[in-house]
Amino acid sequence: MSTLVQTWHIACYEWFDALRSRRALVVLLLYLAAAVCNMHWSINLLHRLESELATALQLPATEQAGVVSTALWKSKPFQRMMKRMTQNDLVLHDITGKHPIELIYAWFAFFYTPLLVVLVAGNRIAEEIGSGAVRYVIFRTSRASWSIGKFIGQMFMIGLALLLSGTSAYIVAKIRLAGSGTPDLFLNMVQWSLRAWIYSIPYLGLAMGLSHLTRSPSKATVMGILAITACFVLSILIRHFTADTGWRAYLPHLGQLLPDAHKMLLWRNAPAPLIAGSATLVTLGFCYLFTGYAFFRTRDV
Amino acid sequence: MKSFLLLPFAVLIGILIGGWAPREELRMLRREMDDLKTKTSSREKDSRFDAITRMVQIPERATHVPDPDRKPAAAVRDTGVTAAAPTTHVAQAATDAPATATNTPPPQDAENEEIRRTSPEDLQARIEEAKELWATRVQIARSQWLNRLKLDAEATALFDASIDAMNAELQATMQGLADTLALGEEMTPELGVRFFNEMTTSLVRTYDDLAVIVPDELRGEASQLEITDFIDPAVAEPLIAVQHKLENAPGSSGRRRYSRGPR
Repeated sequence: MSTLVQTWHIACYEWFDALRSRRALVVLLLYLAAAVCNMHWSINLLHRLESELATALQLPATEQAGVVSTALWKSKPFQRMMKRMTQNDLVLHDITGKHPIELIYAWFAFFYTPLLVVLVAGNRIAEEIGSGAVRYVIFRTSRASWSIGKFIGQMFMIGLALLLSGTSAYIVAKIRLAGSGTPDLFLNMVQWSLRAWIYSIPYLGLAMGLSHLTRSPSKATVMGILAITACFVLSILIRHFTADTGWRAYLPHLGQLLPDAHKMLLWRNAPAPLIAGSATLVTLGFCYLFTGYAFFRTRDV
Repeated sequence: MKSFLLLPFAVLIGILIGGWAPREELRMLRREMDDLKTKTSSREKDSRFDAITRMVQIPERATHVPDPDRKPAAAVRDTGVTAAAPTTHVAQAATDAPATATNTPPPQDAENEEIRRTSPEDLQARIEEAKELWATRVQIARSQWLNRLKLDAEATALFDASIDAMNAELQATMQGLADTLALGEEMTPELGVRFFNEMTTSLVRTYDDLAVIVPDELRGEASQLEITDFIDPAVAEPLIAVQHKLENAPGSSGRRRYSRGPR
Protein backbone atom coordinates (compact mmCIF):
# COMPACT_ATOMS: atom_id res chain seq x y z
CA MET A 1 0.00 0.00 0.00
CA SER A 2 1.48 3.32 -0.99
CA THR A 3 2.27 5.95 1.59
CA LEU A 4 -0.38 8.33 0.27
CA VAL A 5 -3.13 5.72 0.54
CA GLN A 6 -2.00 4.85 4.07
CA THR A 7 -2.07 8.52 5.01
CA TRP A 8 -5.56 8.86 3.55
CA HIS A 9 -6.76 5.84 5.55
CA ILE A 10 -5.37 7.32 8.77
CA ALA A 11 -7.13 10.62 8.00
CA CYS A 12 -10.43 8.78 7.36
CA TYR A 13 -10.00 6.77 10.54
CA GLU A 14 -9.44 10.03 12.45
CA TRP A 15 -12.89 11.11 11.23
CA PHE A 16 -14.46 7.74 12.01
CA ASP A 17 -12.93 7.73 15.48
CA ALA A 18 -14.11 11.28 16.10
CA LEU A 19 -17.68 10.37 15.08
CA ARG A 20 -17.63 7.15 17.12
CA SER A 21 -16.39 8.88 20.23
CA ARG A 22 -18.76 11.87 19.76
CA ARG A 23 -15.64 14.06 19.68
CA ALA A 24 -16.64 15.40 16.26
CA LEU A 25 -19.98 16.46 17.70
CA VAL A 26 -18.24 18.29 20.55
CA VAL A 27 -15.92 20.06 18.11
CA LEU A 28 -18.83 21.12 15.91
CA LEU A 29 -20.86 22.30 18.88
CA LEU A 30 -17.92 24.26 20.21
CA TYR A 31 -17.44 26.08 16.93
CA LEU A 32 -21.17 26.61 16.42
CA ALA A 33 -21.58 27.99 19.92
CA ALA A 34 -18.63 30.32 19.45
CA ALA A 35 -19.96 31.62 16.12
CA VAL A 36 -23.60 31.97 17.20
CA CYS A 37 -22.83 33.64 20.53
CA ASN A 38 -20.29 35.94 18.97
CA MET A 39 -22.70 36.98 16.23
CA HIS A 40 -25.58 37.50 18.65
CA TRP A 41 -23.53 39.63 21.06
CA SER A 42 -21.86 41.54 18.26
CA ILE A 43 -25.23 42.50 16.76
CA ASN A 44 -26.46 43.58 20.20
CA LEU A 45 -23.36 45.68 20.76
CA LEU A 46 -23.48 47.16 17.28
CA HIS A 47 -27.16 48.01 17.68
CA ARG A 48 -26.50 49.75 20.98
CA LEU A 49 -23.57 51.67 19.56
CA GLU A 50 -25.58 52.73 16.53
CA SER A 51 -28.52 53.84 18.69
CA GLU A 52 -26.19 55.95 20.83
CA LEU A 53 -24.59 57.41 17.73
CA ALA A 54 -27.98 58.20 16.21
CA THR A 55 -29.02 59.93 19.45
CA ALA A 56 -25.79 61.93 19.54
CA LEU A 57 -26.27 62.99 15.92
CA GLN A 58 -29.93 63.81 16.61
CA LEU A 59 -31.13 61.29 14.05
CA PRO A 60 -34.09 58.93 14.36
CA ALA A 61 -33.03 55.63 15.95
CA THR A 62 -32.67 52.71 13.53
CA GLU A 63 -34.56 49.48 14.12
CA GLN A 64 -31.88 47.24 12.56
CA ALA A 65 -28.21 47.15 13.44
CA GLY A 66 -25.74 47.76 10.64
CA VAL A 67 -27.57 50.60 8.86
CA VAL A 68 -25.60 53.40 10.53
CA SER A 69 -22.30 51.48 10.31
CA THR A 70 -22.75 50.85 6.60
CA ALA A 71 -23.34 54.57 6.03
CA LEU A 72 -20.42 55.39 8.32
CA TRP A 73 -18.09 53.23 6.25
CA LYS A 74 -18.76 55.44 3.26
CA SER A 75 -17.78 58.66 5.06
CA LYS A 76 -14.27 59.96 4.37
CA PRO A 77 -13.46 60.97 7.99
CA PHE A 78 -14.36 57.45 9.19
CA GLN A 79 -12.23 55.91 6.44
CA ARG A 80 -9.33 58.15 7.48
CA MET A 81 -9.82 57.07 11.09
CA MET A 82 -9.80 53.40 10.08
CA LYS A 83 -6.71 53.98 7.96
CA ARG A 84 -4.84 55.33 10.96
CA MET A 85 -6.08 52.40 13.07
CA THR A 86 -5.25 49.58 10.66
CA GLN A 87 -2.02 51.22 9.42
CA ASN A 88 -2.41 49.12 6.31
CA ASP A 89 -3.79 50.96 3.32
CA LEU A 90 -4.14 47.85 1.16
CA VAL A 91 -6.18 45.86 3.69
CA LEU A 92 -8.31 48.90 4.45
CA HIS A 93 -8.94 49.41 0.75
CA ASP A 94 -10.06 45.77 0.42
CA ILE A 95 -12.36 45.72 3.43
CA THR A 96 -13.89 49.16 2.87
CA GLY A 97 -17.56 48.88 2.04
CA LYS A 98 -18.01 45.38 3.46
CA HIS A 99 -20.88 44.81 5.85
CA PRO A 100 -19.81 45.43 9.47
CA ILE A 101 -21.31 42.10 10.60
CA GLU A 102 -19.21 40.25 8.07
CA LEU A 103 -16.09 41.98 9.34
CA ILE A 104 -16.95 41.33 12.96
CA TYR A 105 -17.39 37.64 12.15
CA ALA A 106 -14.08 37.60 10.27
CA TRP A 107 -12.25 39.27 13.13
CA PHE A 108 -13.66 36.82 15.69
CA ALA A 109 -13.02 33.81 13.45
CA PHE A 110 -9.37 34.81 13.10
CA PHE A 111 -9.18 35.45 16.83
CA TYR A 112 -10.78 32.33 18.31
CA THR A 113 -9.84 29.70 15.71
CA PRO A 114 -6.19 29.26 16.82
CA LEU A 115 -7.28 28.81 20.42
CA LEU A 116 -10.04 26.35 19.54
CA VAL A 117 -7.66 24.43 17.29
CA VAL A 118 -5.20 23.97 20.15
CA LEU A 119 -7.96 22.96 22.58
CA VAL A 120 -9.54 20.48 20.16
CA ALA A 121 -6.54 18.92 18.39
CA GLY A 122 -3.64 19.69 20.68
CA ASN A 123 -3.80 16.39 22.53
CA ARG A 124 -4.70 14.00 19.70
CA ILE A 125 -1.23 12.50 19.20
CA ALA A 126 -0.16 12.58 22.87
CA GLU A 127 -3.41 10.78 23.74
CA GLU A 128 -2.60 7.82 21.48
CA ILE A 129 1.05 7.72 22.48
CA GLY A 130 0.03 7.80 26.14
CA SER A 131 -2.61 5.06 25.81
CA GLY A 132 -0.33 2.91 23.65
CA ALA A 133 -2.85 2.79 20.81
CA VAL A 134 -0.19 4.04 18.44
CA ARG A 135 1.71 0.72 18.76
CA TYR A 136 -1.07 -1.13 16.92
CA VAL A 137 -1.13 1.40 14.09
CA ILE A 138 2.59 1.68 13.41
CA PHE A 139 2.75 -2.08 12.79
CA ARG A 140 0.69 -1.50 9.65
CA THR A 141 1.91 1.92 8.54
CA SER A 142 4.87 4.26 8.87
CA ARG A 143 5.11 6.78 11.67
CA ALA A 144 5.23 9.62 9.13
CA SER A 145 1.99 8.48 7.47
CA TRP A 146 0.35 8.21 10.88
CA SER A 147 1.38 11.76 11.89
CA ILE A 148 0.44 13.29 8.54
CA GLY A 149 -2.83 11.33 8.38
CA LYS A 150 -3.90 12.53 11.81
CA PHE A 151 -2.93 16.09 10.89
CA ILE A 152 -4.93 16.01 7.65
CA GLY A 153 -7.91 14.41 9.40
CA GLN A 154 -7.94 17.14 12.04
CA MET A 155 -7.41 19.81 9.41
CA PHE A 156 -10.52 18.82 7.48
CA MET A 157 -12.56 18.39 10.65
CA ILE A 158 -11.73 21.97 11.66
CA GLY A 159 -12.50 23.10 8.10
CA LEU A 160 -15.97 21.58 8.29
CA ALA A 161 -16.56 23.04 11.75
CA LEU A 162 -15.58 26.50 10.54
CA LEU A 163 -17.78 26.19 7.47
CA LEU A 164 -20.77 25.27 9.64
CA SER A 165 -19.95 28.04 12.11
CA GLY A 166 -19.93 30.54 9.22
CA THR A 167 -23.31 29.28 8.05
CA SER A 168 -24.80 29.44 11.54
CA ALA A 169 -23.40 32.96 12.04
CA TYR A 170 -25.10 33.95 8.78
CA ILE A 171 -28.41 32.46 9.96
CA VAL A 172 -28.20 34.47 13.20
CA ALA A 173 -27.38 37.61 11.19
CA LYS A 174 -30.29 36.92 8.84
CA ILE A 175 -32.73 36.56 11.73
CA ARG A 176 -31.44 39.57 13.64
CA LEU A 177 -30.84 41.88 10.66
CA ALA A 178 -33.67 41.93 8.18
CA GLY A 179 -31.71 43.95 5.62
CA SER A 180 -28.58 41.81 5.74
CA GLY A 181 -29.87 38.49 4.52
CA THR A 182 -28.40 38.82 1.08
CA PRO A 183 -26.67 35.94 -0.74
CA ASP A 184 -23.57 38.14 -0.93
CA LEU A 185 -23.23 38.16 2.80
CA PHE A 186 -23.60 34.38 3.00
CA LEU A 187 -20.90 33.77 0.42
CA ASN A 188 -18.65 36.34 2.06
CA MET A 189 -19.06 34.77 5.48
CA VAL A 190 -18.28 31.33 4.10
CA GLN A 191 -15.26 32.83 2.42
CA TRP A 192 -14.07 34.28 5.74
CA SER A 193 -14.53 30.81 7.30
CA LEU A 194 -12.25 29.35 4.63
CA ARG A 195 -9.66 32.05 5.24
CA ALA A 196 -9.82 31.45 8.99
CA TRP A 197 -9.37 27.75 8.28
CA ILE A 198 -6.18 28.39 6.31
CA TYR A 199 -4.98 30.63 9.14
CA SER A 200 -5.64 27.79 11.61
CA ILE A 201 -3.40 25.30 9.74
CA PRO A 202 -0.04 26.51 11.15
CA TYR A 203 -1.51 26.56 14.67
CA LEU A 204 -2.81 23.05 14.15
CA GLY A 205 0.66 22.00 12.96
CA LEU A 206 2.20 23.67 15.99
CA ALA A 207 -0.19 22.03 18.45
CA MET A 208 0.11 18.58 16.86
CA GLY A 209 3.86 18.93 16.46
CA LEU A 210 4.19 19.64 20.18
CA SER A 211 1.84 16.75 20.88
CA HIS A 212 4.55 14.39 19.59
CA LEU A 213 6.80 15.37 22.49
CA THR A 214 4.71 14.06 25.38
CA ARG A 215 2.57 11.12 26.47
CA SER A 216 0.25 13.27 28.57
CA PRO A 217 -2.77 14.78 26.73
CA SER A 218 -3.16 17.56 29.29
CA LYS A 219 0.54 18.45 29.01
CA ALA A 220 0.16 18.58 25.24
CA THR A 221 -2.80 20.98 25.54
CA VAL A 222 -0.87 23.21 27.94
CA MET A 223 2.16 23.18 25.65
CA GLY A 224 -0.07 24.11 22.71
CA ILE A 225 -1.65 27.02 24.60
CA LEU A 226 1.77 28.25 25.70
CA ALA A 227 3.07 27.94 22.14
CA ILE A 228 0.29 30.00 20.56
CA THR A 229 0.63 32.59 23.34
CA ALA A 230 4.36 32.72 22.59
CA CYS A 231 3.56 33.19 18.88
CA PHE A 232 1.29 36.16 19.59
CA VAL A 233 3.72 37.72 22.08
CA LEU A 234 6.69 37.27 19.73
CA SER A 235 4.75 38.88 16.87
CA ILE A 236 3.96 41.88 19.04
CA LEU A 237 7.56 42.13 20.26
CA ILE A 238 8.93 41.89 16.72
CA ARG A 239 6.59 44.64 15.54
CA HIS A 240 7.53 46.78 18.54
CA PHE A 241 11.30 46.38 18.31
CA THR A 242 11.66 46.54 14.53
CA ALA A 243 13.82 49.46 13.44
CA ASP A 244 14.99 50.74 10.07
CA THR A 245 18.68 50.22 10.76
CA GLY A 246 20.97 47.80 12.59
CA TRP A 247 20.19 44.22 13.56
CA ARG A 248 16.63 45.15 14.42
CA ALA A 249 15.95 45.72 10.74
CA TYR A 250 16.18 41.93 10.31
CA LEU A 251 13.51 41.17 12.91
CA PRO A 252 10.64 41.15 10.38
CA HIS A 253 12.44 38.36 8.48
CA LEU A 254 12.46 36.32 11.68
CA GLY A 255 8.81 37.14 12.10
CA GLN A 256 8.09 35.39 8.79
CA LEU A 257 8.44 32.11 10.70
CA LEU A 258 5.35 33.01 12.73
CA PRO A 259 1.80 32.68 11.36
CA ASP A 260 0.83 36.17 12.50
CA ALA A 261 3.17 37.76 9.92
CA HIS A 262 1.03 36.32 7.11
CA LYS A 263 -2.38 36.88 8.64
CA MET A 264 -3.11 40.18 6.92
CA LEU A 265 -2.45 38.60 3.52
CA LEU A 266 -5.60 36.57 4.09
CA TRP A 267 -7.58 39.78 4.57
CA ARG A 268 -6.73 40.90 1.07
CA ASN A 269 -8.93 40.43 -2.00
CA ALA A 270 -6.25 40.24 -4.69
CA PRO A 271 -5.27 36.66 -5.66
CA ALA A 272 -1.50 37.21 -5.35
CA PRO A 273 -1.35 38.00 -1.62
CA LEU A 274 -4.11 35.49 -0.89
CA ILE A 275 -2.35 32.60 -2.64
CA ALA A 276 1.11 33.54 -1.36
CA GLY A 277 -0.18 33.93 2.19
CA SER A 278 -2.13 30.65 2.06
CA ALA A 279 0.84 28.72 0.65
CA THR A 280 3.16 30.09 3.32
CA LEU A 281 0.74 29.31 6.14
CA VAL A 282 0.18 25.74 4.95
CA THR A 283 3.95 25.27 4.59
CA LEU A 284 4.48 26.64 8.09
CA GLY A 285 1.88 24.19 9.42
CA PHE A 286 3.71 21.22 7.89
CA CYS A 287 7.09 22.54 9.09
CA TYR A 288 5.86 22.79 12.68
CA LEU A 289 4.33 19.31 12.47
CA PHE A 290 7.47 17.72 10.99
CA THR A 291 9.68 19.40 13.59
CA GLY A 292 7.65 17.64 16.27
CA TYR A 293 7.66 14.45 14.23
CA ALA A 294 11.50 14.57 14.08
CA PHE A 295 11.54 13.93 17.85
CA PHE A 296 8.90 11.21 17.59
CA ARG A 297 10.53 9.40 14.65
CA THR A 298 13.06 7.46 16.70
CA ARG A 299 11.24 7.51 20.00
CA ASP A 300 10.39 4.31 21.84
CA VAL A 301 6.63 4.06 21.98
CA MET B 1 8.88 9.65 2.17
CA LYS B 2 11.96 11.20 3.73
CA SER B 3 12.28 13.67 0.90
CA PHE B 4 8.59 14.54 1.26
CA LEU B 5 9.15 15.31 4.93
CA LEU B 6 11.92 17.72 4.00
CA LEU B 7 9.84 19.36 1.28
CA PRO B 8 7.98 21.89 3.50
CA PHE B 9 11.29 23.04 5.01
CA ALA B 10 12.75 23.52 1.54
CA VAL B 11 9.65 25.48 0.49
CA LEU B 12 9.83 27.60 3.65
CA ILE B 13 13.50 28.39 3.08
CA GLY B 14 12.63 29.25 -0.52
CA ILE B 15 9.85 31.57 0.62
CA LEU B 16 12.11 33.27 3.15
CA ILE B 17 15.10 33.72 0.85
CA GLY B 18 13.00 34.48 -2.22
CA GLY B 19 10.99 37.06 -0.36
CA TRP B 20 13.98 38.69 1.30
CA ALA B 21 14.91 41.04 -1.55
CA PRO B 22 11.33 42.13 -2.39
CA ARG B 23 10.63 42.66 1.32
CA GLU B 24 13.74 44.81 1.70
CA GLU B 25 12.81 46.84 -1.36
CA LEU B 26 9.26 47.17 -0.08
CA ARG B 27 10.56 48.33 3.29
CA MET B 28 12.73 50.98 1.69
CA LEU B 29 9.92 52.13 -0.58
CA ARG B 30 7.54 52.29 2.36
CA ARG B 31 10.06 54.37 4.28
CA GLU B 32 10.46 56.73 1.35
CA MET B 33 6.69 56.93 0.99
CA ASP B 34 6.31 57.70 4.70
CA ASP B 35 8.94 60.44 4.40
CA LEU B 36 7.12 61.90 1.44
CA LYS B 37 3.79 61.70 3.25
CA THR B 38 5.31 63.44 6.27
CA LYS B 39 6.73 66.16 4.06
CA THR B 40 3.44 66.57 2.23
CA SER B 41 1.45 66.76 5.44
CA SER B 42 3.87 69.30 6.85
CA ARG B 43 3.39 71.36 3.71
CA GLU B 44 -0.35 71.03 4.15
CA LYS B 45 -0.05 72.70 7.53
CA ASP B 46 -0.52 75.87 5.57
CA SER B 47 1.25 78.51 7.68
CA ARG B 48 0.61 82.20 7.37
CA PHE B 49 4.08 82.39 5.91
CA ASP B 50 2.96 80.14 3.04
CA ALA B 51 0.05 82.44 2.40
CA ILE B 52 2.43 85.38 2.12
CA THR B 53 4.86 83.64 -0.21
CA ARG B 54 1.98 82.35 -2.33
CA MET B 55 0.61 85.86 -2.69
CA VAL B 56 3.94 87.21 -3.94
CA GLN B 57 4.38 84.25 -6.32
CA ILE B 58 7.35 82.63 -4.57
CA PRO B 59 7.55 78.86 -5.19
CA GLU B 60 7.06 76.50 -2.21
CA ARG B 61 10.44 74.87 -2.80
CA ALA B 62 13.48 75.96 -4.74
CA THR B 63 14.38 73.58 -7.56
CA HIS B 64 18.06 74.46 -7.29
CA VAL B 65 19.54 75.27 -3.92
CA PRO B 66 22.26 77.93 -3.85
CA ASP B 67 25.91 76.97 -3.73
CA PRO B 68 26.91 76.51 -0.08
CA ASP B 69 30.14 78.46 -0.65
CA ARG B 70 28.23 81.43 -1.96
CA LYS B 71 27.05 83.99 0.54
CA PRO B 72 23.43 85.07 0.13
CA ALA B 73 23.53 88.02 -2.19
CA ALA B 74 21.81 91.26 -1.40
CA ALA B 75 18.61 91.67 -3.36
CA VAL B 76 18.95 93.60 -6.57
CA ARG B 77 15.69 94.51 -8.15
CA ASP B 78 15.30 95.07 -11.82
CA THR B 79 12.60 97.67 -11.38
CA GLY B 80 14.79 99.91 -9.30
CA VAL B 81 12.18 100.08 -6.60
CA THR B 82 14.47 98.64 -3.95
CA ALA B 83 16.58 101.74 -3.89
CA ALA B 84 13.53 103.81 -3.15
CA ALA B 85 12.26 101.42 -0.51
CA PRO B 86 12.36 102.35 3.18
CA THR B 87 15.77 101.78 4.66
CA THR B 88 14.92 101.35 8.33
CA HIS B 89 16.28 97.85 8.31
CA VAL B 90 15.73 96.85 11.91
CA ALA B 91 15.21 93.27 10.75
CA GLN B 92 18.43 93.33 8.77
CA ALA B 93 20.22 94.71 11.80
CA ALA B 94 18.75 91.94 13.90
CA THR B 95 20.10 89.39 11.41
CA ASP B 96 23.48 91.02 11.32
CA ALA B 97 23.66 91.49 15.09
CA PRO B 98 24.80 88.00 16.09
CA ALA B 99 27.51 88.06 13.47
CA THR B 100 28.90 91.37 14.66
CA ALA B 101 28.46 90.69 18.33
CA THR B 102 30.21 87.35 18.18
CA ASN B 103 32.66 87.34 15.37
CA THR B 104 32.74 83.56 15.22
CA PRO B 105 29.30 82.02 15.64
CA PRO B 106 29.08 78.64 17.41
CA PRO B 107 29.90 75.83 14.93
CA GLN B 108 26.54 74.11 15.51
CA ASP B 109 24.63 77.30 14.73
CA ALA B 110 26.76 77.93 11.69
CA GLU B 111 26.10 74.41 10.48
CA ASN B 112 22.36 74.77 11.05
CA GLU B 113 22.42 78.08 9.23
CA GLU B 114 24.32 76.47 6.37
CA ILE B 115 21.81 73.62 6.17
CA ARG B 116 18.92 76.04 6.31
CA ARG B 117 20.46 78.29 3.66
CA THR B 118 21.06 75.42 1.29
CA SER B 119 17.68 73.75 1.78
CA PRO B 120 15.02 74.08 -0.94
CA GLU B 121 12.60 75.43 1.68
CA ASP B 122 14.84 78.38 2.51
CA LEU B 123 13.23 81.69 1.56
CA GLN B 124 16.48 83.09 0.15
CA ALA B 125 16.77 80.18 -2.30
CA ARG B 126 13.11 80.41 -3.22
CA ILE B 127 13.24 84.17 -3.82
CA GLU B 128 16.40 83.87 -5.91
CA GLU B 129 14.70 81.29 -8.08
CA ALA B 130 11.45 83.25 -8.33
CA LYS B 131 13.33 86.42 -9.29
CA GLU B 132 14.99 84.71 -12.24
CA LEU B 133 11.65 83.55 -13.55
CA TRP B 134 9.83 86.74 -12.68
CA ALA B 135 11.92 89.01 -14.87
CA THR B 136 11.06 87.02 -18.00
CA ARG B 137 7.51 86.28 -16.96
CA VAL B 138 6.62 89.87 -16.12
CA GLN B 139 8.02 91.10 -19.45
CA ILE B 140 5.75 88.67 -21.33
CA ALA B 141 2.73 89.51 -19.18
CA ARG B 142 3.43 93.24 -19.52
CA SER B 143 3.67 93.03 -23.34
CA GLN B 144 0.45 91.00 -23.50
CA TRP B 145 -1.47 93.43 -21.33
CA LEU B 146 -0.15 96.56 -23.01
CA ASN B 147 -1.34 95.11 -26.29
CA ARG B 148 -4.66 93.94 -24.84
CA LEU B 149 -5.41 97.26 -23.15
CA LYS B 150 -4.21 99.22 -26.20
CA LEU B 151 -2.12 101.62 -24.10
CA ASP B 152 -0.17 104.47 -25.73
CA ALA B 153 3.34 105.54 -24.63
CA GLU B 154 2.06 107.86 -21.95
CA ALA B 155 -0.36 105.31 -20.54
CA THR B 156 2.36 102.65 -20.66
CA ALA B 157 4.62 104.82 -18.54
CA LEU B 158 1.78 105.28 -16.07
CA PHE B 159 1.10 101.54 -16.11
CA ASP B 160 4.75 100.80 -15.26
CA ALA B 161 4.76 103.48 -12.61
CA SER B 162 1.68 102.06 -10.89
CA ILE B 163 3.18 98.56 -10.94
CA ASP B 164 6.43 99.91 -9.50
CA ALA B 165 4.53 101.82 -6.87
CA MET B 166 2.65 98.67 -5.96
CA ASN B 167 5.89 96.73 -5.56
CA ALA B 168 7.39 99.54 -3.51
CA GLU B 169 4.35 99.60 -1.24
CA LEU B 170 4.42 95.84 -0.85
CA GLN B 171 8.09 95.90 0.03
CA ALA B 172 7.47 98.65 2.55
CA THR B 173 4.70 96.53 4.09
CA MET B 174 6.97 93.48 4.23
CA GLN B 175 9.72 95.60 5.75
CA GLY B 176 7.29 96.91 8.35
CA LEU B 177 6.28 93.38 9.29
CA ALA B 178 9.89 92.20 9.41
CA ASP B 179 10.83 95.14 11.65
CA THR B 180 7.92 94.44 13.98
CA LEU B 181 8.87 90.79 14.29
CA ALA B 182 12.57 91.59 14.67
CA LEU B 183 11.72 93.86 17.60
CA GLY B 184 10.39 90.82 19.41
CA GLU B 185 6.69 90.83 18.66
CA GLU B 186 4.94 87.56 18.00
CA MET B 187 3.14 86.82 14.75
CA THR B 188 -0.35 87.10 16.17
CA PRO B 189 -3.52 86.53 14.11
CA GLU B 190 -4.28 90.24 14.45
CA LEU B 191 -0.88 91.21 13.09
CA GLY B 192 -1.36 88.75 10.24
CA VAL B 193 -4.76 90.13 9.30
CA ARG B 194 -3.50 93.72 9.43
CA PHE B 195 -0.54 92.76 7.28
CA PHE B 196 -2.76 91.07 4.69
CA ASN B 197 -5.06 94.05 4.75
CA GLU B 198 -2.16 96.36 3.90
CA MET B 199 -1.03 94.08 1.11
CA THR B 200 -4.45 93.71 -0.46
CA THR B 201 -5.03 97.47 -0.08
CA SER B 202 -1.92 98.03 -2.21
CA LEU B 203 -3.25 95.62 -4.83
CA VAL B 204 -6.69 97.27 -4.84
CA ARG B 205 -5.06 100.67 -5.19
CA THR B 206 -3.18 99.43 -8.23
CA TYR B 207 -6.45 98.23 -9.79
CA ASP B 208 -7.86 101.70 -9.10
CA ASP B 209 -4.86 103.29 -10.80
CA LEU B 210 -5.25 101.03 -13.81
CA ALA B 211 -8.91 101.92 -14.05
CA VAL B 212 -7.88 105.52 -14.51
CA ILE B 213 -5.11 104.71 -17.01
CA VAL B 214 -7.01 102.41 -19.37
CA PRO B 215 -9.66 103.78 -21.75
CA ASP B 216 -13.23 103.56 -20.46
CA GLU B 217 -14.29 100.90 -22.96
CA LEU B 218 -11.48 98.58 -21.77
CA ARG B 219 -12.06 98.86 -18.04
CA GLY B 220 -13.82 95.50 -17.99
CA GLU B 221 -10.78 94.02 -19.70
CA ALA B 222 -8.45 95.61 -17.14
CA SER B 223 -10.33 93.94 -14.31
CA GLN B 224 -9.25 90.58 -15.81
CA LEU B 225 -5.61 91.47 -15.17
CA GLU B 226 -4.03 89.19 -12.58
CA ILE B 227 -2.17 91.81 -10.62
CA THR B 228 -0.24 89.28 -8.54
CA ASP B 229 1.62 88.29 -11.72
CA PHE B 230 3.34 91.67 -11.52
CA ILE B 231 4.50 91.34 -7.92
CA ASP B 232 8.26 91.22 -7.75
CA PRO B 233 9.30 88.25 -5.55
CA ALA B 234 12.10 90.41 -4.20
CA VAL B 235 9.53 92.37 -2.16
CA ALA B 236 9.59 89.46 0.26
CA GLU B 237 13.32 89.76 0.92
CA PRO B 238 12.91 91.66 4.21
CA LEU B 239 11.16 88.53 5.53
CA ILE B 240 14.28 86.38 5.12
CA ALA B 241 15.55 87.64 8.44
CA VAL B 242 12.36 86.63 10.25
CA GLN B 243 11.51 83.48 8.28
CA HIS B 244 11.70 81.26 11.38
CA LYS B 245 9.16 83.40 13.23
CA LEU B 246 6.70 83.31 10.37
CA GLU B 247 7.05 79.56 9.85
CA ASN B 248 6.13 78.90 13.47
CA ALA B 249 3.04 81.08 13.28
CA PRO B 250 -0.29 79.20 13.09
CA GLY B 251 -1.88 79.08 9.67
CA SER B 252 -5.29 79.72 8.36
CA SER B 253 -6.14 75.98 8.19
CA GLY B 254 -5.28 75.52 11.84
CA ARG B 255 -7.40 78.38 13.14
CA ARG B 256 -10.46 77.77 15.21
CA ARG B 257 -13.81 78.91 14.04
CA TYR B 258 -15.83 80.91 16.48
CA SER B 259 -19.47 81.58 16.04
CA ARG B 260 -19.98 85.27 15.58
CA GLY B 261 -23.24 85.42 17.48
CA PRO B 262 -25.88 88.09 17.09
CA ARG B 263 -24.58 91.56 16.30
